[in-house]
Amino acid sequence: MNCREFQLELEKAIEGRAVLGTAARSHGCVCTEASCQAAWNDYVFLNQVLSEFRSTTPQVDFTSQVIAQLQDQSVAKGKAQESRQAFGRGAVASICGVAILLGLCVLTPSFSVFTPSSCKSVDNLQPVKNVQVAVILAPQLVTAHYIDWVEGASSRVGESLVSVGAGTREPPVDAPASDESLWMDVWGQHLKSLEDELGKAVETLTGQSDDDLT
Amino acid sequence: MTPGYIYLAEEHLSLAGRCLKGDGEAMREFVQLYQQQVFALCFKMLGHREDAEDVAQETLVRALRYLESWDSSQPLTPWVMKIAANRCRTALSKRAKHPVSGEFDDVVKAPLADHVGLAEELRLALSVLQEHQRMCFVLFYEQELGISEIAAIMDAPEGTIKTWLHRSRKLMAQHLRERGLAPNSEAIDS
Repeated sequence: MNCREFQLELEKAIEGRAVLGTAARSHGCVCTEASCQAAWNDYVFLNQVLSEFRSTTPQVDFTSQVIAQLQDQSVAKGKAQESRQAFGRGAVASICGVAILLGLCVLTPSFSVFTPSSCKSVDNLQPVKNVQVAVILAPQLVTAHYIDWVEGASSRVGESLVSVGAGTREPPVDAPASDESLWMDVWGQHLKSLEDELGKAVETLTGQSDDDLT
Repeated sequence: MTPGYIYLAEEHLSLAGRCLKGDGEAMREFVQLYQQQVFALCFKMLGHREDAEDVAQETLVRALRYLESWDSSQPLTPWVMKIAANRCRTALSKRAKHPVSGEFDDVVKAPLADHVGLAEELRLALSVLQEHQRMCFVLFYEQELGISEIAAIMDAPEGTIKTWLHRSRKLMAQHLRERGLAPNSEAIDS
């Protein structure tokens, strides 16, 4: 047996916890090669001392502690699960509530903030008899209400401006036309043209102009 | 109590099955089966009894809690020991961040004295090994696991385990000689 074979067999015996063969033992005892001597000395030395290795571990018994920890954890887990379920139920209820509210807002035109009917009294509200019809008609109703509101607002603005300019400060018939009354007349004409333009614009937007109607 | 590795695969399977059904007696049996083996690894790795007990208990609690994830086609013992090895690594990394004087440090620096026997010297000599070498050495000599089992536990190729084992043996022998322990010449001759 040469040195290489010896070292391979020694490693094999260590890793496999096998008894070293006679040839390898003889080689270890007599070989003067430094690597063989070091490997052989370590092998013998550790074989002697490692028998003590396992005896250094104290004996323990912590079965009860482990079981108690498991029970504590399962109790804590149960509580956490319970609180999660309670939270989940609350969350579902809240979401359902919000969904119902949103649904009502969408399905019922009178709930919409864009419609002027939201300003009307509750008595004037028409109940929705058929939900499917309401869903189909809702966008059209919203649009119609919005157009009415814009038209009404523009005409009201025009009328109020005219009445402010001409109505409240009407001079006596026999009095000569003052600079102030002249200015009022001019302003009223401007406002009248503005009202006309605004009215045309609204008609164009709503598609109710004479051209479109034809 | 019989060590875990002496149990047959069928017995492990049956025990695990009963534990999974919530059988309290089976859980006690499981703990008793593995506690000494797991504690031994933790004790040798950490060198501190209280720390080792804490980590060993944590290991067994985890093993029982996650028993469902054990692949029953594989042996149970390496799976449990792998959890223990990972817990030890975690404990050692925590200790590295917040170093405290352990039993290892206090005694290993002291000269060889009468109150420290050979067994104690061996345990202390482990502290000179790197973490992976120590784990490998303990699993091989303390747990008497095979190279392939150690490779599975440490997530390393068998060749690497052999290298670590060879290196750890050399370092242990060297350290023990430096501590004044000498091989028995009669044993060498025989």
